[in-house]
Amino acid sequence: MVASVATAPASAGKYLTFSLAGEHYGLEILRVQEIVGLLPITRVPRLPEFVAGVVNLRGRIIPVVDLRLAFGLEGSAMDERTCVIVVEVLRPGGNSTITGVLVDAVSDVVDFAEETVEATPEFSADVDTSFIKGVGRAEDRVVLLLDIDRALSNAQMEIVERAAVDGSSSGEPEEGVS
Amino acid sequence: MFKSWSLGLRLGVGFGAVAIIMAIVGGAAFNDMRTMDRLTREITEDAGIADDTMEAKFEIQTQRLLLMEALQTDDAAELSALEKELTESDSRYDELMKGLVAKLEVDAEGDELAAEILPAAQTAASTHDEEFEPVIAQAIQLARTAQGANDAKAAAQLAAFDEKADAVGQEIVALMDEIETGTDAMVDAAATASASTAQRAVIQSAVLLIVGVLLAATLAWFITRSITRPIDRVIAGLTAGSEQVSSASGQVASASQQLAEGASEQAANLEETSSSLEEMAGMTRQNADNSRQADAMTREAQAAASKGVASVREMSGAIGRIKEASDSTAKIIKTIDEIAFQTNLLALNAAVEAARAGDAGKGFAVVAEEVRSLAQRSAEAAKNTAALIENSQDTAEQGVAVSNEVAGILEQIAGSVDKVTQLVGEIAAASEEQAQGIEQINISIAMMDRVTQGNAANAEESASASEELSAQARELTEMVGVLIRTVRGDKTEGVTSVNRSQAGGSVTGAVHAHTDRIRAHAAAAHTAPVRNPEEVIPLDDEDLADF
Repeated sequence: MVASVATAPASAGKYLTFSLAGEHYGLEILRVQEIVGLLPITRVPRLPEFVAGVVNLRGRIIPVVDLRLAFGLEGSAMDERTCVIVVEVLRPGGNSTITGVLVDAVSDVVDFAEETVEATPEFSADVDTSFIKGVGRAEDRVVLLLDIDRALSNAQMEIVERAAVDGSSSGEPEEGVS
Repeated sequence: MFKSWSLGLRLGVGFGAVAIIMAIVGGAAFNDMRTMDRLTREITEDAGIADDTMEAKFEIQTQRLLLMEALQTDDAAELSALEKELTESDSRYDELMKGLVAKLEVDAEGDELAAEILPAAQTAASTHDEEFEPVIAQAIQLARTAQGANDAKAAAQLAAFDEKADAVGQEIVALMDEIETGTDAMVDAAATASASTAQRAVIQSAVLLIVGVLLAATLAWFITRSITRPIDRVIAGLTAGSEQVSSASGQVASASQQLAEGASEQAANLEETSSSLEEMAGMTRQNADNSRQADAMTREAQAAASKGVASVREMSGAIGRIKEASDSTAKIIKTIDEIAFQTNLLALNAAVEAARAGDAGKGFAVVAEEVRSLAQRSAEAAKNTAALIENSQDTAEQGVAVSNEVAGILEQIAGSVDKVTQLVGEIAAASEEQAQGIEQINISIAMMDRVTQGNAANAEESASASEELSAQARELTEMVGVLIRTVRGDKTEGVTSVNRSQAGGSVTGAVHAHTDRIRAHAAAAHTAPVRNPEEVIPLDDEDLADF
């Protein structure tokens, strides 16, 4: 558990694991800003479905992506376990965008050692699996380690960015809601 | 015409005809006899007349002799004695002549000969009185006066008187002879008439007898034939009738025996029926008692069921409250779970912060980890508790459902008990009616018993009647025999033994035996001990306690 970030290889390290449509995913913990419970999500018209809407996070308006829809899975069923993980997505231009990711449930903080991480298997040339940095093994589970920067396509990210800008420009700063 | 006459008329006519014939024959004979009798009496009378005449003649002669003696005697005493004898003889003569004249006067009316001699007799009587007596009296007078005095004149006078008396006496004697002659003629005539009458009577009687016997025989033959023929037919009919009566009496006897047997069987069946009825009555009473007890028990059961329903409702409420409590607990648990979730999130955030802090956050990371594990444990505990609560909620719900079901069942039971009460009441009423029906059946059976006894008595009576009938048939046969003997004589003896062997005595005995048995049955049926229903249905409180 106690492992140095500097010495760890790119795919090894601490991950915040969560579940999505029955599968387990991992997010690099240093990219996680915050984990919040389900907030009231304000749906923004005309946006694609994978953008669940925007939320007011302690006065900050941030877009929330429904990762299920973004991954082409079934839409998520909101329940009390549903959480929003606030992450910082690095853009190619050096910018970063704070985005909420809607997941079924957060599980754990897992420190994956190098030997527990496998490279992403190549299925086919047509399928882009670059958004998965590797496959980690934790006990009897398989955890897909996401590269959050690539989890959404550029087009998708642009939409999200714009929503974030719109949200932050149009929305009044408010007191945070837990 | 002869056939349509009655028997009395026929016999009357027959015997009347015979009687007429007899009357004719007898009348003719009687007539002849009377004639002969009359003639005989005439002869006798005539003979009497002759005797009287003879005596009168003798008296006349006597008087003449006495007068002669009186004229010749000198003694006055002797003269007086002779005078006295003369007077006596005179009176005898007068008497004789008086009777003779009377007889002749009677005979003279129907007899010519008597009429002829009647004047002679009258003359003789009158001559004696008028001429003979005065002469004698004068002669006696003279003789008395002349006594002792030898007077010639007197003697001449006396001789004259004697001569005159002699002459008159001769005259009277001649008349007497005339009368005797007439009387002899009369006797001769009567004897001749009697002889001729007797001859005629003999011939007449013979002819009449022959004719009468022939007539009577013919009549007797016809009448006997006309009587015996129908009697023969009657005998044949009576013989057949007595045979039929005899066989009918045999049939009646066997029928009465069968009747007696049937009555006997019936009596036995009635006895069995009576005892069965007694048992049934006992069972019915037991039924009624049991149904009353069952009624009480069902009432208790109904009350118990109602109480059960109320209790179940209370229980249902209690379970509902338990469920509500569980719901409240579940809410609390949910709150706890949420708190654990939030704590978990906080711990995760703390871990994230610690990770950001690098080495400096290592201790904090450990704390965060501990907090997170606490949160997870409390979440786990909340989850377990929630599961338990859910379980108890489910159980409570099931309890509510079950108690509702139980309440429904209890209500059903109450309803069923209600129905059972009703049914038991109906059973009790039915038992009551059954008991009444059995009572009526008992009455009917008693009546049937009486009827059976009546039947037995009738069978006995009809048996004795058939015996009597048989005896009468025998008597009839004997009477027919008597009739046959009467009509045909003793030669037809064999007919009287018709069906004498048909006797009814044994039948009467058998019927008597049946009747006695029936009376015994009846007595047994009436004195049959009333059985205790408990013996028939042993049902005590232990059995009833099972309810």
